[in-house]
Amino acid sequence: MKVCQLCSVQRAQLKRPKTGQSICKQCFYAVFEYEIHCTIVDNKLFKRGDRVAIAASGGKDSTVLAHTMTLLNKRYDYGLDLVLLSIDEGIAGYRDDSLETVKRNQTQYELPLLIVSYEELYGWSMDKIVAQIGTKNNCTFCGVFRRQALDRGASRLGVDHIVTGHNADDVAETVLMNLFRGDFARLKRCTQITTQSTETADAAPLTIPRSKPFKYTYEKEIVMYAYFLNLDYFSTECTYSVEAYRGYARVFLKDLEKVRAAAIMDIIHSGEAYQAQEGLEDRASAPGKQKKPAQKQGNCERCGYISSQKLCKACVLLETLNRGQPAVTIG
Amino acid sequence: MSCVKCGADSVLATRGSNFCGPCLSADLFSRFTRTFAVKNSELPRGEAACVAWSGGESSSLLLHYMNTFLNKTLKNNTAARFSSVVVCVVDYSCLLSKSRESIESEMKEMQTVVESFGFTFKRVPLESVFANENGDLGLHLVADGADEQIRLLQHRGKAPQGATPLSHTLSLFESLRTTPASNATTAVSLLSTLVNRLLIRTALANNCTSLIMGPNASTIAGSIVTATALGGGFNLPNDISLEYKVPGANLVIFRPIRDLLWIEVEKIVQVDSVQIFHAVARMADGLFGSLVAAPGADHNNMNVSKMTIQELAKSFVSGLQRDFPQSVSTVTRTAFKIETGSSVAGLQTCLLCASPIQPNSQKWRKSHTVSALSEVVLPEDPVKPVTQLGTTSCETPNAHIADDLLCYSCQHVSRDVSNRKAFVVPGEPWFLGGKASLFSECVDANSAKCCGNESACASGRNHPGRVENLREQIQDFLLEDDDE
Repeated sequence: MKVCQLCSVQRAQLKRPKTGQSICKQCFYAVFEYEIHCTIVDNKLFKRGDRVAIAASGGKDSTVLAHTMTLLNKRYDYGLDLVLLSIDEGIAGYRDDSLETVKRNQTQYELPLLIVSYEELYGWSMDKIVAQIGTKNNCTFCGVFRRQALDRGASRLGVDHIVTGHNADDVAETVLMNLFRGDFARLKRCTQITTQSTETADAAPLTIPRSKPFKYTYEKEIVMYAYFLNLDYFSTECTYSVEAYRGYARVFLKDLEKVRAAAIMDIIHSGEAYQAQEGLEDRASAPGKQKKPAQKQGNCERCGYISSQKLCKACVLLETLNRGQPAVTIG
Repeated sequence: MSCVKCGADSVLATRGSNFCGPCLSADLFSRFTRTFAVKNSELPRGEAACVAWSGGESSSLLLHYMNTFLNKTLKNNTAARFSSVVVCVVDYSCLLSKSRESIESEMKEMQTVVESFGFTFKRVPLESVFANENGDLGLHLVADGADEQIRLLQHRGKAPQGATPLSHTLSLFESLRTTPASNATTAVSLLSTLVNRLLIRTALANNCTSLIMGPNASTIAGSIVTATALGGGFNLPNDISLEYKVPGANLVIFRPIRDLLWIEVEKIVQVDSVQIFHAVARMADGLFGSLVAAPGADHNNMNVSKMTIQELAKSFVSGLQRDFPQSVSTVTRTAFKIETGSSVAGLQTCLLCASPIQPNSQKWRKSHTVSALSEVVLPEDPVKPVTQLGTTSCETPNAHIADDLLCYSCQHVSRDVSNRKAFVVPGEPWFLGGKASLFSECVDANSAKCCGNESACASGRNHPGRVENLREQIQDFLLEDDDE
């Protein structure tokens, strides 16, 4: 019998993907949860009394997030007021089924739930969008709309903070993807654990801060945790495929993980080093080169959402969709 | 297709234009020479230079260009850009089990080529890494430039009978084959680190103030992906920049062909009839039992777990270039913009690779990974309030002593060797050195022994009694397990 390397008592029941240690289930739960607690505490993600929306899709990441946030909030008495927030993109056979899972989670964890839909906000569901534009760039529409929808939903709930289920694999994959496609601006900020658009012309905070408590949590461990605890989650991938370039980065990351599991953490470590350093100038903006002035955030003329342009990205995309279509209202 | 410059038959289409052989040759050479005319360059003028040569396409082209460049300045009667040139070939054939005849024969040819250019040839065996920068043979891996205190520490303890620099080198690499984590990635990283150390040492020993190296854009793209995947992002700007001043030494590393694409290098080597030495250049291929992917090979059809991260990155970059032709330039241009603070003066340097250590990186891995139950802190009273989130920071356990001496990437080496202590305990064969204060925690420097709990210290595992105690404490907090 192989004994757990952590407690030296129980039979080892799994090989931990992050460390390669053979451990028992109980020890796995303990270290898994404690690492997430450390991420929350060390990064000062919340303050006592915060109302926090858990972005819930019904998938494994958000289900485990809802579970652990509820658990850790009680265990360590964070004093957080947790709510579930779901976005219904309107994808038949995918989102409708996963939302049923979210509704069951609402009951299990006794958390309030708000569902906001693309149809309601934009007058377009993803099924309708794909019917019009095909599957080639549909992720661009979905990404822009979801970001805004989350903010609008969070605003309705009156929350101070949104947490998402982005895990270590997602962060590492984004580092690679931004490197491969030459997106230097995103490369510098993609490893930030909390993101927020902070300043308008009058220096007011504009978006609700979003955090990733799973930033250092391996996707395989999330699956393992959900599996062992028999958590209720929906496991089908989005029917409208993944971005080609992200897919490229994802396959490469999985290959790296096969060679050395620590590669995921190592990429995040590199990504954090690429974050803009205070007091340092980019080599590209060496003396003599004119520096672009920082863009001032304002509000979209049409819907009022933050934007550095006259129209926000969602309204621009909506305009392309609505050419020849009946007018829609936003918000 | 015809050449964009002279209308002759094209031999290569690159960067959106077609070139004939002579125009391609002139264009690439002028790109090489332009790198020596960069504003605010720190590259010394009129002093000795060392050229790193592996025998492969890129570095052979570099050597060919150096010869042409220096002859040209001579003909133009202008001041010599370099007073003399030393060409250094690091020979790691000691690691090979196969016949070395072809390597020996090529080495002789390489020497002839170098001497025909009027340069000095230096063949440096890998095992000489177990010597100091003065060339005195030692039996330790103490970093060049380590202070006197460390030099005294290295003589503590007894070397095994009959030990030689060669036996130490072989046992160091052998130790990476025998650990459970053994993957050739670490061995390849270590080899590359030691080769770089020897190149720098050779340059300094021959009074060279510049070390000229020949990575091309495709190699650099592979290095960017590799460094990122190994956690070495902090030092990436130093590893790929046109020039880099080595900390604590009067030496500038210069990479004048870093903008040439692999297809350009491959073609110009043919056009200019540059001699390549394949047996020497490919000494390391599959050296540690890893799979070697042919350029452009679809690695998805290979057993990637048997590849190294370096090979995987190389193969990936080839594939990326095939599917997205501009990708290499995109990756390199993006990485050239990265600024991490690694060039800030006064940073502690890694005792293995001599690169600056990112502040607070030694404990980074440990602070995001709980690998012992003793690290798990549960509230004594589950309903006891945490008054200020963020003020009760998690306890970060002391990282193993080796982590304090090494940069983040090199920590893989100390983690994967079978005898980790051998890097950090004075008198042990691969002792790296370090500040004596670092050793007070675990090691009694006089006796070169551990605190008495060697297994706990070496593996980072907690003391058995404490485990039981902790287990009792957390028992009530563990989740139900219906499967048991």
